[in-house]
Amino acid sequence: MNNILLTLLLSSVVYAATTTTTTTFGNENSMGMNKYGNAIYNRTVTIKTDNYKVDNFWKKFSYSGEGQDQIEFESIAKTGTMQISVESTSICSIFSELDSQGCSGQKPFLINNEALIGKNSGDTITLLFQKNFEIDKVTYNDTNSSVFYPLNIDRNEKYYKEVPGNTKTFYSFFGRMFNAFLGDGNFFSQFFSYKVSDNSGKSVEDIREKYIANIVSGIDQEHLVVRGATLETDISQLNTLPVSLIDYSETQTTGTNGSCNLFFFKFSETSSFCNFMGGMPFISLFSSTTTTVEPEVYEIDTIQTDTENSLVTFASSFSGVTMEEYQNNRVYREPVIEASKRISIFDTLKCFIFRCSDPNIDEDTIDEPKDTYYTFNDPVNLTFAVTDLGAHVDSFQTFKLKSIHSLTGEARMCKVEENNEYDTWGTATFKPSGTTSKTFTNLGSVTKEKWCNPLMGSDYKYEWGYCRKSYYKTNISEQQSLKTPLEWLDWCDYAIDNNPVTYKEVCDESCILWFCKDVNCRQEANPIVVDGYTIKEYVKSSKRGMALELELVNLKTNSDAVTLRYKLMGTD
Amino acid sequence: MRVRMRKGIVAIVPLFFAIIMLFGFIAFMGGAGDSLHTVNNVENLQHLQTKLFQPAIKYRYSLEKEARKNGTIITEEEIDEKVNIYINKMMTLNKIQK
Repeated sequence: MNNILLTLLLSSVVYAATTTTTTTFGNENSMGMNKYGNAIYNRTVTIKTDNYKVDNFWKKFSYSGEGQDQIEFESIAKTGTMQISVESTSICSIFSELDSQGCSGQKPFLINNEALIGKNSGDTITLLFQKNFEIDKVTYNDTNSSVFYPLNIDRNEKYYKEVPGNTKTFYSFFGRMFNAFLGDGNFFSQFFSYKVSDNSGKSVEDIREKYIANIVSGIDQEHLVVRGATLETDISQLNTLPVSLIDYSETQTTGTNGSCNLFFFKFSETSSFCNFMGGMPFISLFSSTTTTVEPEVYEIDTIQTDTENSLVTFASSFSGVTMEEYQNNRVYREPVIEASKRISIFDTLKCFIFRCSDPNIDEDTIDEPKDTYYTFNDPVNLTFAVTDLGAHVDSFQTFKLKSIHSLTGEARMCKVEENNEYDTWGTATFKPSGTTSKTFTNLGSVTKEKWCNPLMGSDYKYEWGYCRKSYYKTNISEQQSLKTPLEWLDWCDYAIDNNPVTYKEVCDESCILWFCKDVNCRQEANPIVVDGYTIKEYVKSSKRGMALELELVNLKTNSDAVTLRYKLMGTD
Repeated sequence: MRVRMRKGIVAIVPLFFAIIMLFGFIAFMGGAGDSLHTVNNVENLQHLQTKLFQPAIKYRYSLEKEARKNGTIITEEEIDEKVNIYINKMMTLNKIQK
């Protein structure tokens, strides 16, 4: 009896149809872009449950004992359409310690729609960081197709402000990221210790922190820029919220011998001031204009520095590139001189950073710009805002950051007067484009020889201890050399670097009857005199530009470093 | 004292009524056509299926991501199989299947 029961039980288990659920997916259909610039896709999902059984618990209590213990359904299915949005939250998809609410793919950069005309996914464009150097502030031109603009976008404070004792704040994360990449434990804290201000002189530390946070982690989810958002490009309204162009002024530092303390990189080469022409990143628009009258003035464009520092650090951290690798693998490129072969970016760059239209700028003083760049194998994705007329954010475009170009241009001029008795050229102005060489006499090696003149016949060298009449003849032929204008410019750099400017007090005299007193006293720099040459005028001005090489991409659900968000659109 | 007792007995009457109604209800549920609870259960199942759309698609993309990360290739069949196992587990957890 027991065996029969057992067999029945087992067979019911074996032969009873089990409940199973199968899931099927429809094809992924691209639905364009959502209002935040994220790619969206629709996809149907069907979940079908076969042999679904419903136990009837209450049956036991019916009067008649009728009713089924269990009802079985052959198949119950539900189909729904899911929307998947793809956001390039690159850094947050790697560092889980960051709150995803503080991240997005949107970066605080704006481009004109002209930059995208005729471009498709996969095409590459090169855009220059925009800065109008004529008035040293960001100005907006709604048709310029070759630039990108920095934006000031509001941000939730908790995603960039320092929170004491909390090591997981964005601020400390940024600090660790910058310090680790740059190999300097204090870089980030020093970063904000320089006095940087906006045009009205207000401190911009908060604006800078916000800008860097927006670059590295993207705009936070609460402040995402929406298609159609009003955009402030009026230069009198910069830094106003919620979305406007950003601007803060340069730091000016005066010093006697050129301080490199502002920069992370301190160069060991001796020839010129900090040797910034090595094309290193992290040193931005840098200008040093020294005459023998004015003390040196250095100006650093902090927006460009911040942008370059942040992008280099962030893109490198993302790709797992160390600073050494970044530096070692950078490509240094001198521009091709022939106009036909010239890389287009240089055509605009020269005038762009040295304002060719300015009549005060002598084009001959300008060296050809140079380009130093690094190309990432594992590029980050950045979503830029796109505008038509600058009034609104009209759309978005996502790019792969393929390479970061540090562009340097230099203006050099040195006016030298020879005060020795051997050269004969008087005063000369040297410029990089100059071609006329001038003699340089190495006074330290000038030798004088005693020669005899025996009244008749030719001179002969004093060699036997007696001359009826002698004189000193300077033998300079071997000590004199011809220096090209570029060599003279290097000589000037060296002379300026190694001879601090000294000052003298100069006063006007004011006399009443025979009582006189000094008025309007001021410091005037003494001319720098080296080896019998006086530097009358010296200009060394280096300007930095930055360009990004960007590949247009359509974010896909299988793109790298993206966050997928899901939304049920409807069910059938 | 007697008065109180009488009142106490009377108080049991509504309680009896309540118990009788409860039995009545149980009897009704037991005898009622299966449609009543079946409808509820099918609705619950469909609700659960709707709830599982997101986990299913999320799991699908995470499988693809994992494969990309490891440099391996995952076929559609493998994805379907893994998603089915995953969703079946969900069904088991929700006591839809054993």
